[in-house]
Amino acid sequence: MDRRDFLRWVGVASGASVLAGCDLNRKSEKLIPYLVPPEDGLIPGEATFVATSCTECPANCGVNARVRDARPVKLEGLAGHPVNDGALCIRGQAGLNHLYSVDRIRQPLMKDAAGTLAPATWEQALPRIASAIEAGGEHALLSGRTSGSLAALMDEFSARTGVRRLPEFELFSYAAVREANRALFGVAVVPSLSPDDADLVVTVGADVLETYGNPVAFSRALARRRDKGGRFAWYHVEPHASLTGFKASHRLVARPGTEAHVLSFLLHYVANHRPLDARTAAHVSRVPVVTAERASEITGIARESLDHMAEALARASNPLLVAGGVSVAHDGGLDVAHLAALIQAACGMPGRTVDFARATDYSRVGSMADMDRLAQRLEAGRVGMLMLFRVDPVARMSDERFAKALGRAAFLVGVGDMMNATLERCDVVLPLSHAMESWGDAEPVAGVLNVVQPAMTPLFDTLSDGDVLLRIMAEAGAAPQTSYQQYVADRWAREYGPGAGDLVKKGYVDRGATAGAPALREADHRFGFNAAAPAGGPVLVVAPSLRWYDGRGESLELLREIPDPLSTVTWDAWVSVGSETAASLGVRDEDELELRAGGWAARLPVRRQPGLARDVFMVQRGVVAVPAGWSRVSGEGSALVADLTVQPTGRRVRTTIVSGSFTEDGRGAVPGRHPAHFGPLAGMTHGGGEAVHGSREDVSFYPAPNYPKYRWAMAIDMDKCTGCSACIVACSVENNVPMSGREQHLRGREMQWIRIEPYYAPDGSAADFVPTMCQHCDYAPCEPVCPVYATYHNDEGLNAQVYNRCVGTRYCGNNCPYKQRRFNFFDFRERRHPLTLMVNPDVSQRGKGVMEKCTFCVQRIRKARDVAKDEKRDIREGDVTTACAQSCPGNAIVFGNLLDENSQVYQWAHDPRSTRLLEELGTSPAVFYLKKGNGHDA
Amino acid sequence: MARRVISAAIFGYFALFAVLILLLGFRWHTHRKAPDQPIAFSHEIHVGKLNLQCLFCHEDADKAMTAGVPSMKKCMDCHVAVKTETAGVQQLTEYWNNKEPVPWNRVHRIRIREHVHFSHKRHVSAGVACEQCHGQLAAMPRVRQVSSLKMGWCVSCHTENNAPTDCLICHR
Amino acid sequence: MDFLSQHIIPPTATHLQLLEFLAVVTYTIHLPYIALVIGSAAVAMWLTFSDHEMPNPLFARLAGDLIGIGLGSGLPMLVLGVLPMMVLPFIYGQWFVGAPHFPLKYIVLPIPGVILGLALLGLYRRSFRGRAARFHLHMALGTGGLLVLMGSYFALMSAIIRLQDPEKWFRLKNVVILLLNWNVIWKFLLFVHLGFALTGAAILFFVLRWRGRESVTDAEYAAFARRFGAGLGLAFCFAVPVFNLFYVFTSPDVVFDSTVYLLGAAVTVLTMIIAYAFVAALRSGQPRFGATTFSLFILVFVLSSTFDVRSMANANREHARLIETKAESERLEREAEIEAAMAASAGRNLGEETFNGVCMQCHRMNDRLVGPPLATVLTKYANNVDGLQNFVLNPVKINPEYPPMPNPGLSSARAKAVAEYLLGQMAAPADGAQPEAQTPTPTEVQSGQKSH
Repeated sequence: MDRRDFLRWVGVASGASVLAGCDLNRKSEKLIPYLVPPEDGLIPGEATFVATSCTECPANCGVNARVRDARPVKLEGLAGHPVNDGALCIRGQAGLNHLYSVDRIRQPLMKDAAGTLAPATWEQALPRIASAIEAGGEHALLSGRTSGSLAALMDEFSARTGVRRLPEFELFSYAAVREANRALFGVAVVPSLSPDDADLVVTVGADVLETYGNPVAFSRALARRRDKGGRFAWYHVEPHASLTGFKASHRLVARPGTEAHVLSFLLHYVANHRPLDARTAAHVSRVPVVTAERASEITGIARESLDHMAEALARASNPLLVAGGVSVAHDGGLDVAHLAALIQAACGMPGRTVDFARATDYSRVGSMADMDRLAQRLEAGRVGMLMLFRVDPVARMSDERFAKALGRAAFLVGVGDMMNATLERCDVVLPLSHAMESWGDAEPVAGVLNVVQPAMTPLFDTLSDGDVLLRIMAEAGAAPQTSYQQYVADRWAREYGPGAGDLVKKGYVDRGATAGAPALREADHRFGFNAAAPAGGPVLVVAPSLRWYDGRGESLELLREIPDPLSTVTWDAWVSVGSETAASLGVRDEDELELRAGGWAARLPVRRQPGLARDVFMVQRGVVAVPAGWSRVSGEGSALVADLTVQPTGRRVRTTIVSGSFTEDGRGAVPGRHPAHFGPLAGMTHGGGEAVHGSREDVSFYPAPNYPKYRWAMAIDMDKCTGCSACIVACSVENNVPMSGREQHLRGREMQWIRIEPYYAPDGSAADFVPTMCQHCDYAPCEPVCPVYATYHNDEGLNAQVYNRCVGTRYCGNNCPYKQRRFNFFDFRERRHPLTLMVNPDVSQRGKGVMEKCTFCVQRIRKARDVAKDEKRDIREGDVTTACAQSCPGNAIVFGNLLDENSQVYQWAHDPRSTRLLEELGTSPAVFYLKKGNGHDA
Repeated sequence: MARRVISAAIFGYFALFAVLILLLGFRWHTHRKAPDQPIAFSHEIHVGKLNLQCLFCHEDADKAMTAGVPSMKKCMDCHVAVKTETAGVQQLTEYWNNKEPVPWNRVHRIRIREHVHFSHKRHVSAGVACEQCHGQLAAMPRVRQVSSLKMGWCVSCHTENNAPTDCLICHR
Repeated sequence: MDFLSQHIIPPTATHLQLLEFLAVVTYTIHLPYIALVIGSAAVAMWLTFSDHEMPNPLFARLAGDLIGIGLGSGLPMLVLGVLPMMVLPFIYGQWFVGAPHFPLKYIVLPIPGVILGLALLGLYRRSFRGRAARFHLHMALGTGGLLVLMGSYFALMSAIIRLQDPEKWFRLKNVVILLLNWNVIWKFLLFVHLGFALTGAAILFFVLRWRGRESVTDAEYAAFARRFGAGLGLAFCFAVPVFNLFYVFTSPDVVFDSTVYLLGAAVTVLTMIIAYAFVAALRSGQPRFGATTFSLFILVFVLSSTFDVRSMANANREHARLIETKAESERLEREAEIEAAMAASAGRNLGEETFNGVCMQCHRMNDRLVGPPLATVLTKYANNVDGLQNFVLNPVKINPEYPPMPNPGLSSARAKAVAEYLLGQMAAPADGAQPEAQTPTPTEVQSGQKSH
């Protein structure tokens, strides 16, 4: 008698349970047919793809949206796109959460008599705006960065309605860089970086892997560079601690605000060792000389490191140097930008590694100076209607003065998709559609145009950016009524002629680079960096956030769930404190600190950050509101808060810190580092039977598994992995990974299937970011302990987990040496509309009391098999890849069939660098790690 | 006295079992019976008498996971002219004119549907006849669930025909 | 099974009902008898055994009577035991004609076993007199016969009960799969326990009523037999509802309708009444209630076999409908031929009628309705009557623009007639527009459908 029969008899034994057996209140399910089936041969339950553009940050990567039953269920990078070529970053992946966010504005809002925003209709809101325009006064339009058709339409809008268009507001305005480039090269642009053929990369403060320029493109290029092999080194100079810094081969920590000295030293060193043309020489001669000693003394960087870097730069045949980020975001920032530009010129980088032709267009973007002017005009009461279009200056600048001044505007119109501090101040709020619901286009870099096209009908009563403007124009009688779709279509037809049709299919058009490399021009810039020695004492560095850029994404719960790779903090706000500083203050993790600077104060829990310099404190944009001071010289918003006073409050604040330890304590958790007591393994064979470096069969009591056709395996290159965490979000969206929320995170119940654990060197000089998912071991310790066979090994090497079989004993979780199993302590499926729509129907959602883990995206394997079967063949290399591998900007992950000798995963698995985690346990994992240091990091 | 007790006991005993059987009957009546449909559509007529192919109406059965409920348009293609005088077709036309879909009641009830990823496409292309699972629809005036659709039933057929029995085939 | 389908013409609806009735009757004759045989043989053996261990004339006498009742002479064994079994294959052979995976062989195979069992028990009966001499042979015959009988009857019952679960037929590869089924096991246990209870009733009925005349003299025996019979009956009555419930519970959903459940409940209720009768029999000093209990038991068997047959019919109702329609269509075919002949003799144009009545629903000569205009499509059948007839009889989808032509369900005669008529219309070019002229009025269409 099997289990089911037993239960059956128990049921019979009592009439009550028979009754209970038939839940009478269960309603009969309905089957609702189509009225008219979709004409374009759409098959229900089959995915279609829509090529569009990511709008989460100004980088505008190309996106391929997977659509199931008229709902986008997953975003992937658009393969072949000139900017991101198939990859997508953590923020782009979370764009889906933005689309389905519960905080979306669902209909127009208008201030009622009581002064609170109340729901309204377009028919009520638009006339109000039109009349406000009628009312006269100096109307102004402030928007975030726009490009392509929207920018053109806005010009048209302001031309026709007389609403003056202000310089656009971006907190990361690249003002210093643009100013320097304008002065020296005559082009005020942000050039794109191409390290494809560089043999040396020097980045000064520019977090090229996180927010600077297009991090995805940079990671991709870096990966290509590494594939080419050969000599390659990367020096990173920064005042704080960033992912980019730890991924560079040499991380030099300069005192905040002293980067100019480093660059000046470098410039002169290069000038002495490289032939320069007269003009460059003239420029160099005007730069105050900084000797190595002086530079070392001021910046606190070791002398020999400086010499090495300078020597490498002088020797490099095709170097890349860029300064940006926090290093240019202070009063001395313009000097830094200038010096960087000069070095670029001196080393002949423009046109080779620094691509001015492929520049990102920031010409319409203003600086903090413009915002200051706006504030003044507001205070003077000279602003009539102010329209704030997809921009949140109140929160981004968190500047009382501006916030107060905003109240002086006669009429405030807010246009945005999610409620924010700025919109709350407005008299009328117009809801915007998400890019997934709108037509439009975007221009990531010069010569490339992305199509923005809808993947679904709008969820709410919203309009696309363009339609809002057009409707207002029509309402104000400034233009005939038309749709933005028509508008962009006409514009494309004008710009691209007949090719426009295929534009929509392809999703982008690349007209190639136009301008060549600009020549150096005469310029006289007064360098002020060595006038005054930088102020000592505690400094607060406000760093860009990998997860929410300048803070714009901070309300997305999906991103909140993902640990910050450096600190592994998920939901909470925190302040990073260097180990020395922490020791001197006598604070540990989760101790509360009070930070004061000027009028500003904040109380934040401490998170120790190895590698952070003494007396340097770091918070991230968006995590905590820090008043953005700005440099009167460049207009760049300042990232440094000087004369900071720090005071432990003595309180302890429980904080969502996911990681348990900064070090692996010699346990061999980092690929290639075998624990001291266990020598390197050799000559052992993995389950498939053929010899792969470093696995062992002989320790197993179990018979060697045999895999007839497939052995799905994954390989991760630790050189290429940047720890950018895009894979985690990709995985979470693809596999409906539950969002367990802050409370659960405090109990260590985070649910992500991929864990990126940072392991720092004891002195904090270096770090390894190890992405680990279920290792699908040949001899999986989780399998034998399952009392109900809910987890088992299938004949394709997958460590299967059958959710509806699992009874939640959690033995498997306890027995997994890699901590890769996640338990649903509660039913996390219940979400608020419309977040309930962010579900991939190919994957069953797990209920309460069920163990779950990485499945190697088995649903994608099944799909590939389905296709293969239709074509009467086996699954080939390239048919199937996992969500994480697909999304990885660094091309660090490959997935495939280990039994196929031509597959890339086979090549990587048999690479001399190949190793596996905790091999001494004899679990024989299917995830291979290519350990760091492929030799060409000099 | 003892007599009363004894006869009462006997009555109670037998009555209990009689009631249990009737309870089973009630459960069957509420849950297992073929549900009533808003329109008395008869497979017997369409498949049996007119021998239309299954795939003519359920056109996705060999293309997608789901066989698919035929669209209203599919019905109206013919019934715009055919048998317009019958009550059922008039109901249908009314739905169609109001641009409402017919709210059919689901016949096949699976307890853990969200955990089972069953593909009609694969089974049809493997040559499994529709009747094998859905019974002789040619003779069903009102459709009923012929197969239990329990896992044991699936697996027995898979083992009979050497189809894969890896859990991941259906559960993921 | 195919040879069946070849040799049996599909039965009509009434015929099927007849078959079901026949099945119920057969079971009503057969089941009680076999039950009685099993029960009485077992009890008799127990009695003789205890008598052998510790001599007790009452036991011996009752054993003798039981054997007399249960195993009787050869004639009842043949009439009640063997013949009905022979009928079963024919009943089901007709009922399930053409059903795929129909496990008829499992119904046929056990029959010899049953007969053998009965025969052995016959020998057992004969050896009763001389048991004192060859006690062990006697007992061996008894046990052997009983085991063979019960074993093979279990198999037979499994086969019959499995007819109620067509979903599993394709799995009945071997006997093990056939027998290992809770539903069947409960059914058999129910059957056996009914048998013992029935034996109790039989003691009351036969021993005390029929032979009552002479046995009244022996009051002691009478009292013993009454107590023994009633006690036995009562005891096993209590087991009946339990197994009955389990049996109902393990039956597949497909067998049920409300009636089936009511039948199931009725069996329990009836058993209760019987139990009361047994109690009364125990109490009253008189040898009464024999007839009541026995006849009520027969009724129980009627109910439960109705339960089974009805379940079988429910589970296979589509199959039934299919063969009914098949029979129906064959009848129509024959009628149509006659009609055609009559029409021809009466000078009516059957083809035209059919066209107006049936085809006109979707087709016109010169314009598109549901189907294509005939004028365009018929050209390819120019003087190919048979081709057109075949198409009309079983249409196939040709032009993707149109829905496939459903089978109009015409008799071959009508199809031929309409084919001739249409091609005639095509042939006469002058009359190209004629059909337009005579578009039928609704009444015509109606009549046309009626005639079809």
